[in-house]
Amino acid sequence: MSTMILPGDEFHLESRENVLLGPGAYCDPRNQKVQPVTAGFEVVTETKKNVSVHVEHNSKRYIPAVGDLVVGLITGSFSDSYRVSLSNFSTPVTLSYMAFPNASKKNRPSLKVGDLVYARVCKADKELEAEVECVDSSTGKDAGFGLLEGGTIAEVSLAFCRELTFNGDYPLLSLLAKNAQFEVAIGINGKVWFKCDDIRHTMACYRSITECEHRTQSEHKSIISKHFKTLLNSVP
Amino acid sequence: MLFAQTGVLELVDGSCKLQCGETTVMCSVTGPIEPKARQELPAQLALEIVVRPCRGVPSTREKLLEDQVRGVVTPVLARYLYPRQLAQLCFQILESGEPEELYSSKELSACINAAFLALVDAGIGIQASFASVCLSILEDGQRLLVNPSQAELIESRSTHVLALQLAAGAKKVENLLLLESYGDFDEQTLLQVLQTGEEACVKTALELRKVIEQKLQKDFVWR
Amino acid sequence: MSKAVEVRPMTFYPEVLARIAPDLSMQRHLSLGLRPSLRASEEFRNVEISDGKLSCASKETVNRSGNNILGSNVLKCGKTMIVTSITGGVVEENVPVEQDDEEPALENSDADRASQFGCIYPVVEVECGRAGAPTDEEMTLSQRIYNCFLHSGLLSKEALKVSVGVKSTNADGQASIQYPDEKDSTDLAKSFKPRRKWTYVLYAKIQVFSRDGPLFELCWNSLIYALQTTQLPRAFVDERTTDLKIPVSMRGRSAAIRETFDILCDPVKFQPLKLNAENISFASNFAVIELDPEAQLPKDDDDMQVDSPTSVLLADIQGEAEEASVSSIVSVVTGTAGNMKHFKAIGGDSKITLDMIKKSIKLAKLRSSDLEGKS
Repeated sequence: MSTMILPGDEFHLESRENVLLGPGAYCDPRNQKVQPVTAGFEVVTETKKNVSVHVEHNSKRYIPAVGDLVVGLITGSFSDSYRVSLSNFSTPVTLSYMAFPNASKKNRPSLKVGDLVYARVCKADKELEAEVECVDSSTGKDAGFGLLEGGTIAEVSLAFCRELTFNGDYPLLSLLAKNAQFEVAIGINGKVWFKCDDIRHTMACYRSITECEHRTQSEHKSIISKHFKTLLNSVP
Repeated sequence: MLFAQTGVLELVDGSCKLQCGETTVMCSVTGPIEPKARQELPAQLALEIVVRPCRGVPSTREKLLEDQVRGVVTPVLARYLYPRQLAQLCFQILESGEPEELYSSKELSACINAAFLALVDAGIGIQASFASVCLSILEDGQRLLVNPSQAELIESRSTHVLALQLAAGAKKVENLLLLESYGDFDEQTLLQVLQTGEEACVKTALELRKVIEQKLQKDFVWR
Repeated sequence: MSKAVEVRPMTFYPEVLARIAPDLSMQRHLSLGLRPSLRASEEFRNVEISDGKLSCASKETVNRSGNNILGSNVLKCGKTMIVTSITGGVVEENVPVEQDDEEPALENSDADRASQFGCIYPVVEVECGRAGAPTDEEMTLSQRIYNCFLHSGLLSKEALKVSVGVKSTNADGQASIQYPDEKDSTDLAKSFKPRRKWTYVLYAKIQVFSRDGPLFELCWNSLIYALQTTQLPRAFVDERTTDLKIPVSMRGRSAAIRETFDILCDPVKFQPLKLNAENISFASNFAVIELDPEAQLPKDDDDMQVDSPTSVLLADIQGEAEEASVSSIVSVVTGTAGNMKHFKAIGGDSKITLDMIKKSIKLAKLRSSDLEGKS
């Protein structure tokens, strides 16, 4: 896990067959050589069938990949789709009107420009515009996607975001939950949406999340209690 | 010799500040982002490079620097990974470290190294590591200096900028990315420059690796 | 679903293929042992040069009135034509107001190499039927020529100093101009030592018609030829102004004396621009291209199995197919004796080996002596 790898180095792979490439691994079309293209930690996972390899690295700009759960901002609407921004200045993605639960030609979704949506990436070819959906397309049913009403967004780095999403044991959110009640939606595109009833809780959560990103895990508890203390002692 | 720090700018995807001797540059990378229609390339990543001088407004001198940096960065970028996208590289020279009206070698070499760090920081795919050094040969034609000081540079008979593409833990030289020489020299000197420069580039690359190691520690501090 | 799709090979004319798939066209040509320009790999194009009779100093100049061109060259290489015209002016150097007559201040210590050299200011214009701000290519070309020229030491600052003559009118009312370095000059010209210094500045306008490949080398060579033809006009001041002194108040303190001169250029007398002959050098470019084994034409069975090289060195890049498909370029500016002035290698996607560098330097030397013979 902790082997550092840089572009130009070689992966520590035993066989060249059945290799699955993850983010940060690239196969040069000219010489078919598998090589890392970003700096980070090498992760090689072996299963019975194949070996998957990727480079665990941290960055700020999100590149859509199929299956990712994201928080997007509606920036435009057309006759049959919305335009959604997943990160500033990146190529926008589309959200079709038909990609909502119970969608039909007559039943149009009622999102406005400036709304936040929680969605899933369903198409992400690098040559084409990516697409997101607000419905579980395998069942056609509501899967908790859609408009995020109210709340606020904390922008964090992508690796931190992944940790919050995939590591259920990661203590940050449970520590926050001890201090306040909130709803949360983590977009893998580096946007953490959350909503508290109290504006002071919102502020404290925002400050805690953004500060904890740059501190070690052992400090998190004291950071969170510090922020809640200062804000709750202030006059509403 | 070389001091660098990554992630110095908040609002861009990757950034670094690099000091090499008397020269200091700041580099920022934004991308892959949506390009303007005229920049878009159908199959690959487009590059926009901007060099800002440490004083005054940009001139043709900065345009040439931009062109030289582009020549180095383009072949190492994994540009087919990001079709129809754009990456912006911005350089701000903070300290030139050389008489600007006569030389630009030290700035160029610092910009190339800064570009590497900033690209890595931004997470844009690059196919190999690269590093650059500036070399000069003193008036007597004998002494070859690596990363000369300003005083040494103006006494030099010829100045050279070398950038190499490195592989296998920055120990193996894979390709020559740039060798640009001005002044008065001959074939023998040039070969000597290549030889000495190769060792110096490998050394620089190892220093850059250390900077990246620190960056990774900082990135995953919350683990 | 599983209906067989019929694939029909498409055929293109060579010119069309060169435009839509330059790399493929290039590789196919190379597999035949030829280049798209139908030259051999190490063959240069011929260069035709003339001075174009543009200079006002030249005896047979075509335009005499209002002509301020001091040196010129017209270089033709393949389709491309390059017209270089050198123009100039005289500027006053910044000399501190209070300075001893005898001791010219130490301008530059010897150590500072580049500031001993004079320079020209080149402007490259690639004519392509559009007006407006210069393109990036024009700007980088101009700057690169400037850098290269400055560091080559072709022109010393001394060569650009103006040795000022004096125009005097004798008793008969006949005006004559005398220069201090001429034999028959009178004491007047010799004794005239202005406190001020003048230097020539030279501009080079390099116009490119029918661009067809990289331009730096062609522009550089044309500039060198043009400078070899350059004649600087002699400059003089009128006798009546030689002792004209105007007091200038310096912030209320003691009034310093400033001279003012109206410096004029002699319409008939010229002297050639002194170049440091040992630094005259010519440029040539090379491309390194890797052979793609898949694009090679199938070999006959009875062909000998020879280990063919994986990459080739091409001299003198020309044309769309060649320029678009090579990214590894070596450019060498060298004198005939192997004293190099500029070297640039960009290793794009192909590997530039040490042997390639050596070979290109060797070829560049030969090319340089060939080009020197033409001037």
